[in-house]
Amino acid sequence: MPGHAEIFGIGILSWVTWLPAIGSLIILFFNREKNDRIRWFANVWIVICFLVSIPLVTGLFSMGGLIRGGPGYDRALAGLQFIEDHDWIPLIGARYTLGIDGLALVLIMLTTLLGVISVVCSWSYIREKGREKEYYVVLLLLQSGMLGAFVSADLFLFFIFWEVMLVPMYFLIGIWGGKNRLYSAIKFFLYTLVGSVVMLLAVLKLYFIFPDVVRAQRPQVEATARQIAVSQETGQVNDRMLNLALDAMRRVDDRNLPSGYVSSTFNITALTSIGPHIKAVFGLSLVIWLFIGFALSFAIKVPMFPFHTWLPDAHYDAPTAGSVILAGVLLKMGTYGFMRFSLPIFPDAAADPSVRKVMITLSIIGIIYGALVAMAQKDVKKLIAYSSVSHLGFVMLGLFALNPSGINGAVMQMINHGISTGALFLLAGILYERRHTYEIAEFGGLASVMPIFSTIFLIVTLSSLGLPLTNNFIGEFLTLRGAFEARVLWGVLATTGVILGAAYMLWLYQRVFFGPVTNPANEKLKDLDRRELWQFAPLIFLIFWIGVYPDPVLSYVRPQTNTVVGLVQPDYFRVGPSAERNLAESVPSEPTAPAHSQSSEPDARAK
Amino acid sequence: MLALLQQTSDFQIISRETVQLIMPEVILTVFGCAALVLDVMLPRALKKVVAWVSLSGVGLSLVSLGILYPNLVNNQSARVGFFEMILVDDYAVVFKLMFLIGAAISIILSIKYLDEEGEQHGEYYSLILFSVVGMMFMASAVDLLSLFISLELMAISVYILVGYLKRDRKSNEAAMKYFLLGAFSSGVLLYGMSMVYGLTGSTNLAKIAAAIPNVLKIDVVKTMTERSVMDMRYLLLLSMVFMAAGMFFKIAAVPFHMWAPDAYEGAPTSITAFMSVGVKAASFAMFGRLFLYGLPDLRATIAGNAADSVPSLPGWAVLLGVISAITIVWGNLGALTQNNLKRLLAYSSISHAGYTLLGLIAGNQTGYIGVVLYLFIYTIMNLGIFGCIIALKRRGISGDNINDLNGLIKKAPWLTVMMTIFLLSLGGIPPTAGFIGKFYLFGGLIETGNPWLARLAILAVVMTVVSLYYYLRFVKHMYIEEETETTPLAPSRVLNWTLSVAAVVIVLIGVYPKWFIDISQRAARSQALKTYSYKAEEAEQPLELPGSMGAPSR
Repeated sequence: MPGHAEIFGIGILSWVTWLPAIGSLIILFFNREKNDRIRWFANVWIVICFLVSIPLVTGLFSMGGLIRGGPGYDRALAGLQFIEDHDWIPLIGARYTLGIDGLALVLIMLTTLLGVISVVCSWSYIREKGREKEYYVVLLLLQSGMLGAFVSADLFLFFIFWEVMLVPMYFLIGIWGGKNRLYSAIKFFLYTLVGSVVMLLAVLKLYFIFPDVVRAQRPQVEATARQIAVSQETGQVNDRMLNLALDAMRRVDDRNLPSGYVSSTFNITALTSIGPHIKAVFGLSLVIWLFIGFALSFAIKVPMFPFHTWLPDAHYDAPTAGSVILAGVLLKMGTYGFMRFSLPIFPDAAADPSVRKVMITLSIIGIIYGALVAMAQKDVKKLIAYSSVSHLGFVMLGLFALNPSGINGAVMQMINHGISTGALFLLAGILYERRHTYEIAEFGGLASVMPIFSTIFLIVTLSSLGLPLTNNFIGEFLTLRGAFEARVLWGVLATTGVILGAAYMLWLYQRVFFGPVTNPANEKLKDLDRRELWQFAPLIFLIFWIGVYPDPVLSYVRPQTNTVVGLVQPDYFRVGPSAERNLAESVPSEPTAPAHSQSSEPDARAK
Repeated sequence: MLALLQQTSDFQIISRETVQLIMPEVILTVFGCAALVLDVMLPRALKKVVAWVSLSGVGLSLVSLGILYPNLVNNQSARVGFFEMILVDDYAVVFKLMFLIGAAISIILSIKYLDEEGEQHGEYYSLILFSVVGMMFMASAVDLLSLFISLELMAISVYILVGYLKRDRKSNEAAMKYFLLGAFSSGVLLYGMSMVYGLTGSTNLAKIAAAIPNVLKIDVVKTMTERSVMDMRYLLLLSMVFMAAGMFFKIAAVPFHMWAPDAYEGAPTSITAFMSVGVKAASFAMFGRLFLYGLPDLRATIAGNAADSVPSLPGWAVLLGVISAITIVWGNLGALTQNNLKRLLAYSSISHAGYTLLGLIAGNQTGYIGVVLYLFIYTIMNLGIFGCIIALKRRGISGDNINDLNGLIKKAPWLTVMMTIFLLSLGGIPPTAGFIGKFYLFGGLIETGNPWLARLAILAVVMTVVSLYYYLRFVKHMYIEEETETTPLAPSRVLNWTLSVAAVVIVLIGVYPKWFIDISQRAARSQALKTYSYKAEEAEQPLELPGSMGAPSR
């Protein structure tokens, strides 16, 4: 049974998305002078937001008529769950459709958790900086924007959230940031905006060719829709999602559609279903152009190698909370976009050897270049920022390995990077609060002054460089396994990134924490207080938990991974290493439909 | 008197029905005259009453619009009057609604502005009303004569308004520039119109449209010795270019934009606001009428005759495409370096004219909806941003310089938030209305599937990123820079409420645009009725621009 829960008749995904925004509206009505009250309210509110997102995993008990609970996310199903669907702009077929798949679920949980941490970690920082009311308003709005992008199952809605996110982040960096904040904020904003407006055109093009593709290849498109809705592992069909997509396709030939209504849809599942058939109707070049339109936007957000220059600036000048969210969630938007849109909607482009080569090359350059530049940094925060470039290179490498272990690894890396790098930025933020500098040379020998702090820093450092039993090991292992499976050379090159990663992280640790205390300013630094310590607790817990037993996370993601691989490499599960098992398991529960999908797929391609 | 006229002749000039057609305009005219009379009668201290009277005139006109066209119109109720000079259809009604809303907001802005300037006079408001009458006729006129007369009514009123601050040299200069160039462009427009009349034998747009295929026919007479080609297409194209040039001037499209920055800067800010939305929207209304209703056949490529080696000629879509590309680029780049807010917004409004043209170029329903919708949204958001600037005006401080915004968030948080909303909307960032408008305009271009139009769309979206740079400069000054002067603002409650409503509407359209798209769609459909019949053909032979990469795949 797919996950489902309603509170006061409103679906839980809407609550998860809008609750932070409601909080920021409430804060608007607080008296500007009552800073303590605002701070307490924001902290409590963000915790509530986190608690509300928990039923997505655990399910919710029904409590009377007002809270109608249901099971949590069902891992046996592929595709969207917790679906909410309402009319919105009927003229263009945009609907308020929410729904999450396993990938989105994992990222939502990460977002709500990091949301709490970012609000809590600002406690003393913002007291010092001032303008608390605006700060919390912006922070909560940002939270809503990010969650909205993850829950949208309608491309129009997604795009709106995608752009909305930029504005609060701009303010966060621009108002509360460091020395160069104006430059960094506008650079961040314009850079990402270029990507998204180009994506808007690609979205429009996709939207306008949708009817043509459906009309030309209706049976094949419907078969693909069924293929997406079926879990490769269990063979269960996600009826609700499938029906929504089929409804959206029916609109194409709806004779009752009033004149002036566009007979297309923004439903992401429906758009994904036409993906493999665009090539047959419009040719490969259009598919590649559309892919580029989407990929440019996502690549800037990730950021991939030549588009990464905004990231160090933005990270360096953002306040700690901003950095945590930027590293933890905003960058994941890009990789999420690749996995959710670019790969499944344009499989022909993604599997195209030259496109793939370009993407992989850029990823590997990102991995090595990011690591080398990180090594050369004289500044803690910039070093972490460049390490992000390197880590996200791994994610992209895993995605474009186009096999299950690569993509699973990529998703694991997304989560891990959020946890580890988020923690690193928190730690750097604490250093900054103590000393008001990020300069590595200013520190040294902190291990004796701040023992708890240096212990936590060590754990996070080791996690970040991928020590076995920590989270990053799992992710990097899977990613590299995928890369080796795709092509040995890619794996070999990427592995150097792991070595370099260990080098710059350990060197950083050595310079900051070991040796004698050379700088007298460091002699009396305060160790972590209880609030600061507690904000690390969940992150440390996750580092070890994922490191030791990653399956709970992986099991949410696997159905999505299989769907993506099934779309991009339709032959993978048939001739791949475990072909027999997969074929045996994908015997459909619904006899006709998926079988049809299996058989019609090669036909469509042959044309 | 009216009854008398009706009895005396079967041939009724003024019947009840025809008067109903122009009732909103009649009401405004009456109030405009009343404002003039009141101005003389009232003592200096009570001059503000004139403003409220004018505002109630606009309100009454709105009400009459609502009563006469309650079902904001299905096309059956489209009616023609005054010897087919006036056509009231959805298109006209929606535009009239737009003008009246714009006028109402402008009058409210003016009250505060003129208070600060100490120039509260009645004729100001009556001139606004008269120019609105002109605009409203522009939207419903379907005859070259009525179009031109209403254009002039609007233009002359606005010339005077621009120079309204008689002691301000900048204002005088602006009025002079605007008037001279405006008169010149009217002349060019009129020249084009007269040539069209000569070619088609009618001033009625519908008849012109019907006659144009005949004009386009190429007669080739071959005798034994020579071959003579009767080709009137060049003449027709020339007249089209003349008319387009006149319209480009009014909407301030590059290269006819030279007057705009100066006129916008010099004019009283309230008039800048009024001009930037009212005049522009009305000119677009007229542009649409002239080109979609009168010259639909000149839109796409005009077929030649290959056998006799007569070349095909590009239609007005190409002309508009080139102009809009230049306008978007020039407007946005020009705004980058401005420090005077009014000048900056002048350039920004130039670029917005370019964006709006995109809808006409696309030539499909999405594009036409985009034009109407965008103008509607633009009216509200641009008046909003100018309203915010006027709200900054206080004794000794013009509020025009970008440094006057410094640290505004501390002085007036709500005003700052509203201004941010308007700016983001101008930049097209969701969830504001501007995004929905741009979505339709770009959507229209993409829908055609023409590769050249796709390139135009790419250019346009990239330029919106540039525009965000200067819109965010406002934001930077308001939120991030420290206060440079501490004179308190002089808030006006009416102005604040108006702006609040406008800001809420902007967000509302952004979040739930259904109603607005609905009315824009009706307007677009009634206007495109003529072009509708062409649509089927267009699908088969899509608009071809010179050098296009062949027919698109669709």
